[in-house]
Amino acid sequence: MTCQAVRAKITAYLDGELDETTASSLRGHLRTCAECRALGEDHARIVDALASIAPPEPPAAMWAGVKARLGAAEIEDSRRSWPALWWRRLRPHLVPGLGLVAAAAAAVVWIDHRRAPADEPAPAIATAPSAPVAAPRVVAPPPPAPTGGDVAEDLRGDDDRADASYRAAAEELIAMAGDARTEWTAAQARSFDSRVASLRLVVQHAAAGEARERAWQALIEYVQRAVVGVRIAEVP
Amino acid sequence: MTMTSMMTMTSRAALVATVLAAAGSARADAPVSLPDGVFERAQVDVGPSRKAIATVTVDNPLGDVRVEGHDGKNVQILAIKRAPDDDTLDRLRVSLVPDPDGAVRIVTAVDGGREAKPVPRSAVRIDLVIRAPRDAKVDARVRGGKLELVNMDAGGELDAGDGPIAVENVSGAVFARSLAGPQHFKTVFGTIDALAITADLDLDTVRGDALVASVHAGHIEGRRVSSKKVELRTTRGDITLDATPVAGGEMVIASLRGDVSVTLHGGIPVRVRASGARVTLPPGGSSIAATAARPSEIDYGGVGAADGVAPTELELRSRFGAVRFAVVK
Repeated sequence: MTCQAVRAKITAYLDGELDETTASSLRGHLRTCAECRALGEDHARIVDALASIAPPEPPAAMWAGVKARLGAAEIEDSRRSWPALWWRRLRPHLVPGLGLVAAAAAAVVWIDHRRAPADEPAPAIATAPSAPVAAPRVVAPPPPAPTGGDVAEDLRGDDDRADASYRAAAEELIAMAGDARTEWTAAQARSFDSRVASLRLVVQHAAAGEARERAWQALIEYVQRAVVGVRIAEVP
Repeated sequence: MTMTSMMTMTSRAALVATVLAAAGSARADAPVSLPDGVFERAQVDVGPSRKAIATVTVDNPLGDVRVEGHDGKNVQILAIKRAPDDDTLDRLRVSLVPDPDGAVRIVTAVDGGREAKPVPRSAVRIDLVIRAPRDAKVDARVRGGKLELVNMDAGGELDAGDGPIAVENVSGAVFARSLAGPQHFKTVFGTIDALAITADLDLDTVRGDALVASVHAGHIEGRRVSSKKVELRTTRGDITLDATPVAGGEMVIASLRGDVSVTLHGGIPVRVRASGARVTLPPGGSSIAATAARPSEIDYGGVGAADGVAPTELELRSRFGAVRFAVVK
């Protein structure tokens, strides 16, 4: 993607109006072009300043987080030829069912994020209930087992297995937060939801491997602090 | 087979060869046959180029990594490869990429290829023992093997996947992550930031600015801990801590479903705030106040004489477990 194209699309990007392929390509360009990045930050600041009129998209915290964790895949996107980008854009339509599911999932995350204010004061400490409640159901599937094939093939599955393990822990904690949130104020719950949505987005955009593992770890640490009752406001 | 031939020929192969020729020595024993396969042992010694070796990065998905500090300036790498047969042994690669700016990177891999006979992961292994300058920073990653960091002064970043992590006699900041591998820290002077998902975490003789440790499903046990900021958390799993508080310090020990037990030593005044399904505090605190709204949350006031010394703030909490606090003078 060229600087000219980035400048033409930056506002649409901040408004969340670009498709994922174009957005990824744009982010990849921002990662390598200081001038466009500065422009993007200026736009983001303006959007943040308008937060009282409309929720910022994305808020500064998410912008910084996403920017910091963008992976090599996005840089690669920025270097793809237009035919390759068009192919990537068209490819999901060839599998309508899969595309529909992905779009629905993305919409849920995005809508959830739009509803949550970014920098609202967070809760203090939850009180201890009088009796334990049943452990919440773990939503995520268990990690896939090693393939049992050749070692080279098995090594390629390491990232997926780690991803599944972190996902299982994160989903279990988020389910536990469902119990804890009954004792939070509405503002506290909104702050929590907003932060979780941002951290999920970082996971979603992180490159597979170490970057995504770090993103899962950040999400797990935040939610764990919340469910054990450590002051949520102190969580960075 | 020589160590040079073991190295994957990357785009930096020429650099590798040059550095080895100029600053290092390599030695490899001939493969040895065992009843259950073959093994090969190779050693290489890499010296500093333009700058002293400041960082050592290791990525070994095929076995153990042990990094131990020494007083020299070189990095000495001992690689032990094991496989069921010679052909598979030849597929196991150890790449060494020294950087003139003071970084050494060691990566292991397996050659693929359709002609290769499929071999299960459990049948092959590469273990690395690395002796590095004590003041080098270590960044090491394994998947299921053991990851050890011993006698180092600049800390490191450790990621063990399902394998255990052991850190002993280390100074500097240590950042440790594992999924199912237990973590052991012994005699660590520096900041620790540790996270394990389904594993236990053990701390013995830890001092530094901060100790932050989180376990999702597993226990945390700490002995002789004396860090200024301590934050220990579990979701499911008990926490036991035996610590000496630091004046003006902060300690947060919290669990969702596990029991929390903390014993503090020394004469530093402590201000305690405790919350749990059952809370046990020692007699003699300056004030105990349980409010009707939060019957399980107790502000214990202080333990020990102030005398101008800033107290340590101690927060203990378990939503569904018992909380116990004791003081040993």
